[in-house]
Amino acid sequence: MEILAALDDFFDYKEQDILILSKGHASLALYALLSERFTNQFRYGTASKTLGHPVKNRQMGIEFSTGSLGIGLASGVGFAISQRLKSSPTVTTVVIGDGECNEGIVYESARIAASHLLSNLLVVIDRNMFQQTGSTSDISGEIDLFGVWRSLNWNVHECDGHNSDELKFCLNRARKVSKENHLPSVIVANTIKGKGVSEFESTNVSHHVSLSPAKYQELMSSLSENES
Amino acid sequence: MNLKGHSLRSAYGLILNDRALRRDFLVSSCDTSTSAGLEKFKRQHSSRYIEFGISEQAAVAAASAIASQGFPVFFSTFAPFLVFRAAEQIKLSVSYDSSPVCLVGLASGIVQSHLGGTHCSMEDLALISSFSNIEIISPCTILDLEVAIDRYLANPKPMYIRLTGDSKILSSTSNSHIDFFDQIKEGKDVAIVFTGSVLVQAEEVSKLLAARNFKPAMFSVASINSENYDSIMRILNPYQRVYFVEEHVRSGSLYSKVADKANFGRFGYIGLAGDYSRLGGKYFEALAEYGLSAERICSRIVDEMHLIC
Repeated sequence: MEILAALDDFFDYKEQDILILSKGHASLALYALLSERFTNQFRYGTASKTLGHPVKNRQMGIEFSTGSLGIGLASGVGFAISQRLKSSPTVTTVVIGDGECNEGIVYESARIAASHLLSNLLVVIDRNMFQQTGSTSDISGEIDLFGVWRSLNWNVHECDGHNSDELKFCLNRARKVSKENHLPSVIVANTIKGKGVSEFESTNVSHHVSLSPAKYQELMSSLSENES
Repeated sequence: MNLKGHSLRSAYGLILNDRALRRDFLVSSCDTSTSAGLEKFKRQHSSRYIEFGISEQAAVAAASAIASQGFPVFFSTFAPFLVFRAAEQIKLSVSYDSSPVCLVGLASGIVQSHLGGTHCSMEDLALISSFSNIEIISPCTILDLEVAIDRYLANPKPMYIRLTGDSKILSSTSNSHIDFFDQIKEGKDVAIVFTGSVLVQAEEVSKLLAARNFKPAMFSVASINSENYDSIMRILNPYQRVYFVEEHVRSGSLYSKVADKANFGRFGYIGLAGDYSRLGGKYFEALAEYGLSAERICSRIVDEMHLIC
């Protein structure tokens, strides 16, 4: 949520910049962001515009359907190429998960982006160290994300994904470096899955969970206390 | 343009090179430009050519995204690697999101038999025709290919062009440019419908049958998922027997589609139409939306039985 909020502050996604939430299972965070602008679109049921994974809806700022992991970055490459063809100064940002980095298409796309010098493409990896059924290290093995992306000729940056000041500083730096060396940038944003809810923190319980109304109230109170 | 002696796939690149003088569009491929006759285009219009490297999945998603931003885009690579390797991207980026990209499957069918099964594509129509929103053209002649390319450029919509055969191919038939349908020979009793480059065999088939006292009517059809199945059936109705000759397995072929329609009198199909726009809600609500609730199954049957009775 903090990553999307920082991106929303930093770029102008209402106008020309393009944001793709490739880790579509985090759609609730995206809808929370969009709800400020499209309050009447949020309902459940047939032909709902807010399904469990984002469905393309340009009027709402969803440029491409996501949910099938890995496809968002490939689409982002296409958007960045089209922005360049239009001589547009705008940026395409793709938010992917560290578990999503298991997908081969991520690396196909990263290679294409670097070979086409897509300095207008930015990737943010939400590195919460978990994927659907366990920790990324248990499921996928230890992967040197920094080394992998560097070897693909990307600028690699790192920050605390819950700290909005650090995120914005890192976004600024990534844009500056990309403009200088004409290569795409990736920000590895370290996060804690379920942060703010003690019983969910650093577990993958919250990857898919339904809350009872009572539990929802309890968690909302707990979040309010934490904030105050 | 004189494209005599060219295969469909080498003609493809030359046609694009010609159209590039008058139309604005992009061309992309996965390290297969030489296999698609695109060398000249690459040289003469380098800023309009996008090389994705050997990355079919990412390439289809990226080309679709570019097309969705208002640029007509042709993307070509060998049919088996395009349709099967990138099937999910075709489903999601092209069909589901309706991105107006023109996908071109090179060397489909069994023209690359000498290279083995990995390079053949006998089933691509079965897969791609199961997705909604994608127009499918299997050119029988070079002229069919030109018409398909011009149709896309005039009004970019999701399209798949299936290129079969080698350099032994017909340049045109007399009327094939009219909705990709032509009667190429008058006849009686038996009709033969050809799709794709295998049409080049028609004349020889006709001679061999004539030697056995048959006088077949012959047709070429390049549009595989045409909405004109009814008119095709009307034209074929007078013939006692109709054969479809296609370089493809039965599933997904033109035969399967026309036969499906022809059987409608007795067999009805109640299933999904491949339209994603009605999703949402709970499972049984979704079933109802797609006509699969008990009530909607019943009313469909009752309505049609009343029509029949």
